[in-house]
Amino acid sequence: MKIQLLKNKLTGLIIPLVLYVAWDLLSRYELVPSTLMPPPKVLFETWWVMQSSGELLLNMKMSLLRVGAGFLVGASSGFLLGTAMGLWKPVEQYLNPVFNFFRQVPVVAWIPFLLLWLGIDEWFKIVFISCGAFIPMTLKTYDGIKNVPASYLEVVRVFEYGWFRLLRTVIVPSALPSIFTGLRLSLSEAWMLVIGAELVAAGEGIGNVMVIARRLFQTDVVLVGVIVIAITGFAMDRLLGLLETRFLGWHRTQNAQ
Amino acid sequence: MSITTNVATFIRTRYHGLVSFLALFIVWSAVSHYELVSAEYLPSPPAVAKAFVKVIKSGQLGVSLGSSLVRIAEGFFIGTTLGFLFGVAMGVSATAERLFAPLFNALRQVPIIGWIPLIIVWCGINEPSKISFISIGAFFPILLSTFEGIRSVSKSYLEVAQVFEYNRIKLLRKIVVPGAVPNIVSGIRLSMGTSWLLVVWAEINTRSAYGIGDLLSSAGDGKKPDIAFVCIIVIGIVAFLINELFGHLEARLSTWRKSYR
Amino acid sequence: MKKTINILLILALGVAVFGATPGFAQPEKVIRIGFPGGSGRPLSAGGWGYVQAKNLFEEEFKKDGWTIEYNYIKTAGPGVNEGLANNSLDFGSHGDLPVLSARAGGLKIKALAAVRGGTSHLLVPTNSNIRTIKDLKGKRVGVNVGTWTHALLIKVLKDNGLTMKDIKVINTSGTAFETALTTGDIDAGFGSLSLIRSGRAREIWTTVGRHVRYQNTNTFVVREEFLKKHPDIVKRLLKVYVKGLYLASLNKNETLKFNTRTGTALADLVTDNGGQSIKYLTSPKLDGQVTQQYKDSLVLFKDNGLIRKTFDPEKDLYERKYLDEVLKELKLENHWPNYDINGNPIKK
Repeated sequence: MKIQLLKNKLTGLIIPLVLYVAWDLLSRYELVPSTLMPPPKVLFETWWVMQSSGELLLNMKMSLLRVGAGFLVGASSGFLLGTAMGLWKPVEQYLNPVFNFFRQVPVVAWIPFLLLWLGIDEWFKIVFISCGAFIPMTLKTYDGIKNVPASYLEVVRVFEYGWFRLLRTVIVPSALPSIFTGLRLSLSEAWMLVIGAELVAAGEGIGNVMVIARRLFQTDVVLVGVIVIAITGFAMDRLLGLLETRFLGWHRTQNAQ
Repeated sequence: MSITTNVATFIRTRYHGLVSFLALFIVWSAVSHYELVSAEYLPSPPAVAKAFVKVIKSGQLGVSLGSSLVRIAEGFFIGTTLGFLFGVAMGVSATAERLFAPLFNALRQVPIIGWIPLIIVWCGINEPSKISFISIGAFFPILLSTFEGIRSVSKSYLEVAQVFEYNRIKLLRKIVVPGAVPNIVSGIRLSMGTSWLLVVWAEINTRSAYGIGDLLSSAGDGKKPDIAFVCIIVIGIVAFLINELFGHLEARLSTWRKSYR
Repeated sequence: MKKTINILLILALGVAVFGATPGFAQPEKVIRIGFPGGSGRPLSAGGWGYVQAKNLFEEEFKKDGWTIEYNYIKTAGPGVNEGLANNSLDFGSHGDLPVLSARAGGLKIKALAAVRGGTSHLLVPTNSNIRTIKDLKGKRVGVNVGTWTHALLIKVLKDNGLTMKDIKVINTSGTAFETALTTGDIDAGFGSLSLIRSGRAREIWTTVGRHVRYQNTNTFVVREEFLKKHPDIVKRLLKVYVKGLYLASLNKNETLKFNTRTGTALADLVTDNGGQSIKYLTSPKLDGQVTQQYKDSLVLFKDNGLIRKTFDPEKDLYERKYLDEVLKELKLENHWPNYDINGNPIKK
């Protein structure tokens, strides 16, 4: 069994390994111009130079700060709106249609307006990221609360729970998995949009490093950027995943029973 | 039912939403009418309406929308075809899954917009780069949903097939792919939705003569908020239509599958 | 059996993927030339404008079925580099920073001739209180990153004891730059005289009348692969080009008239020329003015992180063989003098 598992894992490494070797050979012997696809060794060197000069850290810090701020604002307001729409009928009736209407417009379309209103500085980026993070969070929170089984609520009514207790003991716990999904979706959206915002409007940040490198014909730097943002995005998602299992461990076991 | 009763039910059921929209509209009109925000920043409703008529009449909107849709069609076609093929391969063959899953999982971690600078280096700023970018975006949703769809085809069907001694091709054609259709359609809906916003991203980053994203960003550059507003509305409507159309298809297919069962 | 099918399936997918990647095939009998085309007008400045307006290339190659494709790349010099890299262009004529950064980044190109005399003006909004370069400290400066004005900004800041770290760089170009400057979204940036003429901006510094080292020295480059494959075509093209420059240098007024087709007013062209001789402006020679300036630029670019490794342009960039042959065949060896680093003709 264990050997089989190991074998399965190893097969997964075949293609990446073959691609890696092919990439290395192709670029080393200039079958693919190294200007388009620098060899892996060059990428490691470039990464090391960027890392040791502090260039990478500084720019990553800027991007992460923006994501942090945008995510915080977007996800928390999304949580509030989602909860409000889920719990209070009038809020749902009046606001849900408006939310659904604006949700149809991809955030990218707002860029010219946001630039016009907020200029090209930090405010633009943070508001832009918040808008992106806001939508999945609202949706998922609202969904989660709406899908609290009616039977739970009936039991609660029998026991005459107060509002707060109802929220704390029934609604939030059973909506939590959906809320976590919302958090993960909105974080990955925020991470994507910070890159997008930095591509459009400069300033420091990893997206901007990639734009400038592209303009200066430094393909290696662009590729390092792509890899770094992929790893960072993955790590952030994993982190939230870990939090989720910690918080929801009981939920899983409960479901399993 | 007559039209008036139709309208009446529509208003009754959507009453609250209509009130909110009306309120928003009034606030917007008032703000721009009393110039609480200058027209440079917030165009008035009549200005937007006028701009709408203008871009339609001049053919600008039609050409832009058309160019974007052609780009989507091309990128979407390449992306979904490849995604579908890989999805089927990984769905039916465990070896293929083991071979490709780690690679695609790694590539999927790149936030899609992060590909833009690299694709520009590789393909320039003309059509090929836009189409490659959209293809990448369309590829992953369809890959995942095809794969999951095929994996969800129930064991009992496969057993039946075994009894009838279907060969691999027949099995694929008669059982596996039809069983995965609802998933595939929802994948197509996702891909299509993604393609639509990616074409806007691509056009904003690599300007060309025509495209809805080009119209939008040149309106932004030229400080023409009325035209930018028109673009936002059009982009929203198209996104909505894509969602509705494929959502409808998805719903029909899943009821079809239920009755088929 | 199952295994074989699996393997076949995987192979088919592999073929599908690699088959779908855009081919890097050279189209038959098309010569594709790329120019930075900020304004998007269909004509270039200087001697190029003359060659283009008179359809000299088209005439020359009509007889053997080659067509000429002029591309005006909106993303300017860096875009020309991308075109050369992904094989959608064969020739380019672009500025010092893009050419040098491309070669430093490993792009296989050869410089065939020089194209001199590019000018620019450092502009601020009319109501701005910025008067000198030193006032730029801490300000937001619009930069078309990777183009020659980016390099120029570094030079000018350095003269005043500043670096790019002292300003806020906003990557912008074209109409977006012009609007941002007029609305005050950016505080300064290099632009054209037309903005001053229309009263939308004020000039605080200009290349006009200054040392030639501030001017843009473009080079006319060819993809090495194309050069290896069609040396005869390259030579013929260069010959027609040099002949065109010669005619342009004899017909200053006509050349200027053609250059107005770029969208620049005649008066602005005259101002920008700053009294430099048409001979200087049309000289294709890769002489001391070019080589010394490029040598200095390489050091400056390396110091400022615009290039990551340096190279020897004499060995890796300049290809003088064709130009020398062409000048000899046209008996124009002595039409243009060699210029020194200061732009003065070297007396024999």
